[in-house]
Parts: sequence; structure tokens; C-alpha cells
Amino acid sequence: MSTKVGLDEALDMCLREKQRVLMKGIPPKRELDDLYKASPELQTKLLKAVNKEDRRAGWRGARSIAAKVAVAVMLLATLTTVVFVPVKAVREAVVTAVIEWNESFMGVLFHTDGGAVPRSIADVGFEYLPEGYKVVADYSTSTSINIDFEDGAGGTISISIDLADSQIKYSIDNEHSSTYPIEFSGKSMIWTLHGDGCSSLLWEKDGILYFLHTTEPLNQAILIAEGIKV
Amino acid sequence: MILVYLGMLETEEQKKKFEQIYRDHLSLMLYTANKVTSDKQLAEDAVHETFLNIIRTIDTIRTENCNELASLIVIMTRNKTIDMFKCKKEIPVDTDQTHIYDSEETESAEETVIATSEIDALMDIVDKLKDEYRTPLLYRAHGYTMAEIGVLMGISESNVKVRIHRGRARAKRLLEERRCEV
Repeated sequence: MSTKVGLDEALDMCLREKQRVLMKGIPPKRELDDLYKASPELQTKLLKAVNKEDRRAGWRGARSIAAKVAVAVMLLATLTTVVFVPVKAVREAVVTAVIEWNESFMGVLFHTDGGAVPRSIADVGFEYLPEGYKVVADYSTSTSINIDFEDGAGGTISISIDLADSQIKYSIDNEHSSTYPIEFSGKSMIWTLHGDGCSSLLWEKDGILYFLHTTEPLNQAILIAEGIKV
Repeated sequence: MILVYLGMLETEEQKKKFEQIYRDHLSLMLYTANKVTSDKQLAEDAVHETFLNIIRTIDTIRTENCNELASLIVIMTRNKTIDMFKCKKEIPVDTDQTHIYDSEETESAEETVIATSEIDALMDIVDKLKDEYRTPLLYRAHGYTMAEIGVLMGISESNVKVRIHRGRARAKRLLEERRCEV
């Protein structure tokens, strides 16, 4: 009668049995020790090989360090390329834009020894306003009054009256407009003709600064300006 | 000489383990290598290479059972000697003529059941297996895990699995051929 076993178990058994038979055929250790000894040549070769192995280990260490340095350099380069360079580019672009923006505006700096800004809107009179204009907004501070007019047909007039205690700076668009110095009633005035056809007038009188922006043509703007009484 | 080897080991446990292997099995290794090749020089080279391999895999080698350890040392020495012999002489030592089945052996061998009367046939078949299949099967039979076998043989764990599977499948194929002959 025969017993059946799985191939894996039988294979393991056979392999072990084969190995057992092989081991059984090996002479006793004492006999082997007498017959087989490491020769001086083997010892020399071994020493060389071990030194070679040590050198290999040394090279492996050096290569490892070199690899780490290379990775660090790559990371730094990547960081510089991906982060710092764009940041620098953005910063330069912003600075350029600011410079361009600044160059697009003309700064008008006023300096006065003082004056008397009207206390309220009621203190400001307008001898001339083109037909149809009415006040739509006004607000004032201790040093300025601002009044906006509209005619209901798209026409607008904005007037700012400022007191400059020490100095005040107006910025006038210089990119899409043209600026000319003009005179009226013996007073110097800056006229700005904007690209959309609007006009701005900027002038100073008795220590008070006036700024007028309107959709009306220049002659009308001058008449309005001349009619402002404080 | 042993001092040189010991210099390559890091912990006291490793050194102790290696010292045991060196003192107890050096002559056995030389004997095994000489049995594979009659070239004494080559045998000594093979023993040296085997020692270096032992150092690399010292943590994987089990030393609790002396017989098992001796068996493992013989396997390692034999394989290393065969490898070196192949490289030097460029003559394939393998006598296995069954590699023709390589591409066909995808079927699992686990379901095959054999009668004890067929054990003799299987013993012959084991001899016919290529070393690359027999060695991992032998390590496996000695209780080493796939990962440990990979370390001992210097191959990946998945490669060990493939070799073991192919070895079993080949053994099954050869067994079936024997059955047909009968």
C-alpha cells in the first residue's frame, strides 16, 4: 500500500534527503582539517581581495557623498530656477510697472504759505455753470471741499478746493492726455486735455488750490473756473 | 587570516557567528570546492568568494543547528565554485536537459500528488534540475524564507519566487514524463 503526498512536500523531502546523503558522504571534520588547509597563497589573495573590497567600500562612500552633493546642487538649482528667478522676474516686472506708471503721470507739486479754505459748501459760489447742471454730490473736510455736478445728459463737472498747509501733490495722467500751461485772468493754470475729450484745470489762488474736471470743452471749463468765488 | 575577515564585520554577534563558521567549516568548504573542480587554485578562490558572500549575508545565516549550517555552507560553496568554474572554463556544468520546457511551465505544481513509490523517481528528477532552480528549492526545504533566499543568492525576492515556481513545475513535468514511460 502506498501513501500519497503533495509534490511540494515530496520535493522538499527529496532535496533534503539528497543533501543528507551528500553530507553523509563527506569525510569526518578531523580528516578534512588534515587534508584541507588554507594555503599561504590563499591568505595573500584574501588580503588583496579584502583590501580591494575596502577600496570598493571607500569608493562607494565617496560616490555616495558625491551623489548627495549632486542632489543638493540640483535642488538648489531647481529652487533658484523655479522659485527665486520667477520671484525676481515678478519683482522686476512690478518695479518696471511702477516706474512706467509713475512715468505715465505728471506730478504737480504745490507749496503754499497757507490760505483760507471755505468752511462749507455754502461758502463757495459759482457765478457760471453751463445750463442744466445741478449738484449731485458734495463732501468736505477741514482742508478740502469737493463738489460734483451733472446735467443729466452725461455732462459732469467735478471741483476740488484744497488748502495746502505745507505742500500737496497732484498727479495728472500723462499717458493718455496732453498737458499745457495756460493763463487766464493773470493766473497760471495747467490744462489737461484727456483722451476721452474731458478737460482738467489746475490752478492756485491765494493759497488755495483748485482742481476742475469736466466733460465740457476748455472754453466752458475756463468760464466755470473764473466763476468760482470763495 | 580570520582577523582580516573579522575586520569586515561590525557587531560582536556577527564576528562570533563568522568565527564559528570559519573554524568549523573552512576545511569542509575547501573539500566541497575541490569536489566540484579539481583545480586547487580555483577552489581556494571559490572558498574566499564564499567567505565574502557569508560576510554579506551573515545576518541571514542561521547557526543554531550545526548540521543545517554545514549543509548551508556546502550549498553556498558548491554554488559559488560552479559559478566561478563556469566563468573560467566557459563550460556549462549543468547536466539538465529539460530547459526546453521553460516557456511552457506556467502551471502550478501544488496540486500534483505523488505516490511514495515514486519518490525514487523524484530523487532522480531532483538531480536533473538546474542549479538555479535546485538551490532556491534546497534553501526553501531548509526553512529559509523567500526574502532570505534572495539575500543568500544575491537576487530579488520575486526572482526567487519565479525560480522556485519554475523548479517545481519542471519537477512535475519530468515526473509526468516518467509516468508515461511506465
